[in-house]
Amino acid sequence: MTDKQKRRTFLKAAGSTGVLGLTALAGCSDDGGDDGDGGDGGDGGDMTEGGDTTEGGATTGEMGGMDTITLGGSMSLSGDNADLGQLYADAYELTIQRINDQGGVEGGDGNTYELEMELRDDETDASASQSIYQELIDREGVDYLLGPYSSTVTLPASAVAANNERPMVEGGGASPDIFSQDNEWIFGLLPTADKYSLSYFDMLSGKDSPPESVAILAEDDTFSQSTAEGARQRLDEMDMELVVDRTFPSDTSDLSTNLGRVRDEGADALLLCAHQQHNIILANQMESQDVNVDAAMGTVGSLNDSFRNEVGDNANYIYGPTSWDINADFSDPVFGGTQNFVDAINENYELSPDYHSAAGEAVIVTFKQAFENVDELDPTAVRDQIRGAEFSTVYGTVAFDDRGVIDKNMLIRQWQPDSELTTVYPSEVATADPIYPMPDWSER
Amino acid sequence: MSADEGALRRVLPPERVDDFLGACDDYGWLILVASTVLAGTLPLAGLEAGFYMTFVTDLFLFGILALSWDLVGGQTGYPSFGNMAFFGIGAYTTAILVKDFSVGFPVAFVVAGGLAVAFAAFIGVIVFRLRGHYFAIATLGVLLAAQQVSRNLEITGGASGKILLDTPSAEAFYYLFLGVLVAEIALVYYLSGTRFGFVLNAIRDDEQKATAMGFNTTYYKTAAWMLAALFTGLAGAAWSLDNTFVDPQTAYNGAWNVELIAMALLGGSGTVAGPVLGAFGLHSVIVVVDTYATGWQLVLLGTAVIVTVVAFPKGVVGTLREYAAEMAYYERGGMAAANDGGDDPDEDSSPAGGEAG
Amino acid sequence: MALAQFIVNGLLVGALFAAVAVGFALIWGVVDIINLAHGEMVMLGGYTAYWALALTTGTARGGPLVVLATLPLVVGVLFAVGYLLQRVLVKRVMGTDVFLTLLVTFGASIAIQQLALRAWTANPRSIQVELADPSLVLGGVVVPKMKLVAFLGAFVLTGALWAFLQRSRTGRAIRAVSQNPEAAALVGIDVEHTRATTFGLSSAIAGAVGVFVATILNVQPQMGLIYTLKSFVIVVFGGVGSIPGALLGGLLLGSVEETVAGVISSQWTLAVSFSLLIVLLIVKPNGLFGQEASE
Repeated sequence: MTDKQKRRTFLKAAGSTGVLGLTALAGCSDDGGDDGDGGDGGDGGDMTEGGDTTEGGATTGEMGGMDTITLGGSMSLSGDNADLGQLYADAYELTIQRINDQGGVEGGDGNTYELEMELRDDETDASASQSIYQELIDREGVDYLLGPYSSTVTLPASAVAANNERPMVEGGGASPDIFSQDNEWIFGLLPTADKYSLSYFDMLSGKDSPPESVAILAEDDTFSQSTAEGARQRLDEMDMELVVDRTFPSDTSDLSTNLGRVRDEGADALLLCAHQQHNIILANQMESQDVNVDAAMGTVGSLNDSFRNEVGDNANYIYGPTSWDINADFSDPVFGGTQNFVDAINENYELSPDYHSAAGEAVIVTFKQAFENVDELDPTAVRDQIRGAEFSTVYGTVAFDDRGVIDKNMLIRQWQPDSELTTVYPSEVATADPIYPMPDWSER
Repeated sequence: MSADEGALRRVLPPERVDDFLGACDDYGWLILVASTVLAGTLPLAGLEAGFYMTFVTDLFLFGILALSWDLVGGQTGYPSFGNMAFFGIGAYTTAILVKDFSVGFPVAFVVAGGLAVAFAAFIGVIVFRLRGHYFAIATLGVLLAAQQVSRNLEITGGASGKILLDTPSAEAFYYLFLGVLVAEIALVYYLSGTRFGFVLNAIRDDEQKATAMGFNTTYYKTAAWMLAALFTGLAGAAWSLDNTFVDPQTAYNGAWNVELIAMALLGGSGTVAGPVLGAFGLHSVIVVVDTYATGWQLVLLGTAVIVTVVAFPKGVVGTLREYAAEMAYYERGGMAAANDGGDDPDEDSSPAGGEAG
Repeated sequence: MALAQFIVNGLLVGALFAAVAVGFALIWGVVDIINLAHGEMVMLGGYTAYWALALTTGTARGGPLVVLATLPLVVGVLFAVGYLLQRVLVKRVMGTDVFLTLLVTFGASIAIQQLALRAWTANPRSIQVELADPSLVLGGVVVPKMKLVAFLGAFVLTGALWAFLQRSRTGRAIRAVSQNPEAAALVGIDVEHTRATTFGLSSAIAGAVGVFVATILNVQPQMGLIYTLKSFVIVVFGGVGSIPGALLGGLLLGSVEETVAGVISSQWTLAVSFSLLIVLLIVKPNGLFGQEASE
């Protein structure tokens, strides 16, 4: 480990001399200075040297007899989605640590590799994420990319993967836009956003007195817009009328007026296509605006502990979709099975995993099994292997369609007053029936 | 304190600085040509597409943006907080033309520049009726309104923007940004010696006087503003394809707009070389901080802005000029001045210090 | 009926924007500074109350009176923050170019925001107010009780500031400095102290608004910018340095925005506000309620 560390420090040092040299040089190039020549010579040297070491060093470097493969990526570790981003970071870290503890990856080329992760903070900022990926590829020589969180961030990152021909496996971006660009280098582990709300409407239409009218409130980001579009199409085919269909900007902090519409139109079911922040606002303002519906679902961030902590009992009866059931039991090459993974996350991070965590685990396993099954370790071979593979992880069976998306449907969970978070749909995996209709505020 | 200044004087006497700046002024064109050739040969000398080339390309990009800002903000005295609106218009124009209408990049590039200029002409008529705080706010309003419009329209791809695959090579963009930057420096440098540049500075120093002298100040202000829009728009046009992605947040980036101002200020606003040097310096610092202290770059940016404004309001070039101008004082003041130390010269130097480079 | 609801929603939040803008207008009028870090004071106020509750009672929730009890603390803390901001930082760029002062306060704004992000993460936080029946229905219009409290609170804060400026010795000093700093100095007023006090008072009111925001909406490190921007728009509506103008401007902006949100879509509220801002700057640069003055 120390060897590796030293090399990395050296690389950084070389990099920084390069930067400073270039600055001096670039400075001259426009206002004339006298020390241009020195800077030029030194600089060229640094660059080629840096390039070479990176090739040999970071990607598949010698390390105490074992080679390493670096998986690199950016994640929302601060900024708007830091909470959910942390779930991925934890899952990535834990899975890689387990794989290394178990002796590393037996590469298909006959070598054994230790995995290493280079995960940077993109502050939930699409353009920051994009330059991080470019830098990881160019400077750290990373060949295999871990996806970031949220569609807005994943979309530009996927363009970097395509332009540099490096495979990216992601468990955090679900907008269909990501997969409609003929991009052969991106693989997604979440059902696409247009499918997020379908199970909810399927569940409701199977009830004795299904809702007749529906309200959709959608944030204006890529992901939420796709979710709303999927919902609209499904409602077209069903016997429910769309009475409110409103889009609001991401920085909105007050949904009163939009909720007032929902109340005035007397919608029976509400769908909020948005992230955690707006789910918190929704849960609180439904009470203060006296909005009584039979069912309400928030698409993202309505099922985790921090949502519950912020809104308290107002979380009750709210639904959320998940691509993974915490009670499932799938076999897994690293953890053995789903329940072992759940225990390991509980133990190491003191929180219960949700589908974000499980998808994060599957991202790493996707690369692991690809490394094991290719004859030669290079980005194209790994990509081709992933495209045709089918394997089981804690997240369930993984196989990708032509666009690079996993084929999966959402399950529905609900916050129930007595038993907390409960899986309620589909009935094969449900542990209880949904509480429908939910009680009016005056009766709680 | 005074001991330090004494040491500084021994190592770098003001007259040497003055000679150096004088040489820069005398050989301006030569320096520009030489450095262009030097920058143009870098890729041949081993600068390959990748991190370092992106870095140098970004230096050129910010050089263009900062110099454009300074044309109106520093030379004319109208601090715009909305320059990035031109950038966004340029970026979206190319993205839409190339992606949705299959127009070739060169054509889209020219159209983008033209649209940015047209928009500037339209907006200029409105905002140049305002000054000071009001001008700053109105331009910020323009930027935010433009951002909101892009966010809400179908053709711009809404909040998610557009991704652009199959773009020209990194080398092509390196030379494109270099070309635009050199063209802009040459033009601004040329203009600074003409009547046009003189009127802009006159407007900054006292607009009423400039009007009284018979200049149509609205014409000059708007012309400078359109020129700034042209280069900013072209930079945006090239950026969108180079970046392979446009979204409202980045293309109409208010934080970048503030960075541009900080760059111009740091280098020395109201000069030709200052904003470009400031852009190179500040962007380099930002990249280094990004690498070694991820997550702290904005804290440092905030602090850097504050320190610059408080400690070097004249920027590097301005401060150097001021320092160099002390020589004149020495020549006149003789021994008395040398004994006295270095407080008074500041005041004496101001006439020479304010001139554009 | 729906329109009435939109306007009521707008007035309820508009009063909060107004109270924030009042301080912004005061600083602009008295110290001649556009304080781009003003919105951060709202954020800091909200967090101060949140942590005061969370650390003393264990959870960030309580009855309305408990929440209101945090106000004196918040006002005190934010007064100190504002006072120091002027005394330590802004003082140094007084009287220089306009954009230097803008840059300094902008720098302060990013630094405060980012430090808050480091310290408290980006999670939105809210103070839960325990009320048995959280909303009133008046003639078909729903009025959340806490929003009503916040609305009245905003008026009380603004009124208190107004009275303070008119009646107290310090208030008179502030007005004197606003009209003519040199003359004020000649009659023995400590101009620097007076300016810093203006900053302190304005920040304290913004902070108090932050407490209400934390109870009816939520607080987040990056929330400040929107309050600063809205304060701009409101001050342009109402006229620089005018407290009644800012109050009316805030109520007007709130109603316009919520009506746009209700009738068209909340997507267009910001675009409409900023376009309105530009138009107003051109047509009535002294504000809808300002006196016709030169420059």
